[in-house]
Amino acid sequence: MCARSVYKNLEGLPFVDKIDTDLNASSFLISFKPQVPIDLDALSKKVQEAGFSVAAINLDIKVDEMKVENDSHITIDKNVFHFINIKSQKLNGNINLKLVDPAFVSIKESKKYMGLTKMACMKTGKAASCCLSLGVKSDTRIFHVTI
Amino acid sequence: MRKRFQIMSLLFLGLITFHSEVISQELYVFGEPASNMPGKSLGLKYSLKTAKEIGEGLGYTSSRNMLKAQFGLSKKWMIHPSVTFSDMYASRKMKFESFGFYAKYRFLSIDGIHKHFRSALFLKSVLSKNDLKYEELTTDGDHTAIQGGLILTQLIHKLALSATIGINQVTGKSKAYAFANFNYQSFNYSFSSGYLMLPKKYTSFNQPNFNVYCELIGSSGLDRKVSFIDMAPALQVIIKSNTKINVGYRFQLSGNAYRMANTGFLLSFEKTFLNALKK
Repeated sequence: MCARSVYKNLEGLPFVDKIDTDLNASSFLISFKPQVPIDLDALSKKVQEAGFSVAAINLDIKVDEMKVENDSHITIDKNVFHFINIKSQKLNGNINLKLVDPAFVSIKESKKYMGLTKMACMKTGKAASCCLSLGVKSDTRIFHVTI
Repeated sequence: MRKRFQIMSLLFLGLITFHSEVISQELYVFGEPASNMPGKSLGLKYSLKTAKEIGEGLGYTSSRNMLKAQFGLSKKWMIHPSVTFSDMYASRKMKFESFGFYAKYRFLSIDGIHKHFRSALFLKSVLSKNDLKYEELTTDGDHTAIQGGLILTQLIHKLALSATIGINQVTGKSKAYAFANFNYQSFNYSFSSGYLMLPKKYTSFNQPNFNVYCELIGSSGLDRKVSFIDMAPALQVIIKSNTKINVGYRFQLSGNAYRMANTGFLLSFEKTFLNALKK
């Protein structure tokens, strides 16, 4: 029961405001500080540094009339998200996004999502030629999400 | 179009679910799991082993003190340098006895919900001042030796099962001991099980954990037909996720090896410092 080490590691991140623990589910609910840039890779890195691995990361986002399409990119609070395996829709209010990049789910699950897009950025997590045509600068970190 | 959402949207919550590298009921009292301690952490362990002697010192209860530092170098590598002091063997005075070095490389890790599987390779080398006197080959400080092997650990909810196999080879000056026909190489194995008794449900990091263990520890000589198998039940309390207190008793179930003792207690105390090795 060394989840304390994960807690300590996450607590040190500058954009983390509050952490609620659910030890029976082996999960932490993190409240982010407003106005502070969020580094999602740092979350995964801190969990790994504590000797744990990430099973899942879900993000809660409040949106207003956000139109999303499959294999499209949207910038939210300076992070670029690529939507995978979704239907075109308009999102309103609180939505829940699940990160599917290799660093945030099991290798098996990540492979499943890799099969659902032809775009190269899924493999590297960096903007590839597929994204540049959509107006994203090259080498930008792309986070792959599903709803 | 993208720009518009940037202003209107707000990222406010993240839910992280994680898999543990190691869980409490894998922290065997006699054996070692394939799982590693948290990366960048340091553990200090003191253990006291008693032996009710049946060999040369028949009737004498001797003891061995071991001090061990445990370094979680990364999530895959850990090393344990150790020293022992004992009044076993000739002197009957508590004195420095051996230096040991253990390294473990966890190469396989498969996570599931409330279950996981880990596999690791290990190597332990011991330099001891003692001469080889018994047919039980160890890496505890009884004699100079090297042991390498494989560990497989499976967690299924509250139960943690582990198997260890290894080859122990006596090396160095112990080989010069007078007995010509001695056991210098053995196949060592153990099966460990650990069960989390308390808490039934987690509410905070500070809840004490209470684990019960039962381990089978055996050895078969590879150059002489000598063997034994022991049973070792143990209890463990973990306080504040960082302090462990262990009490175990080991006794022989069957065997024909000439041993110093076939019963003995093991008491140990361990403290873990998380992130201690972080730059």
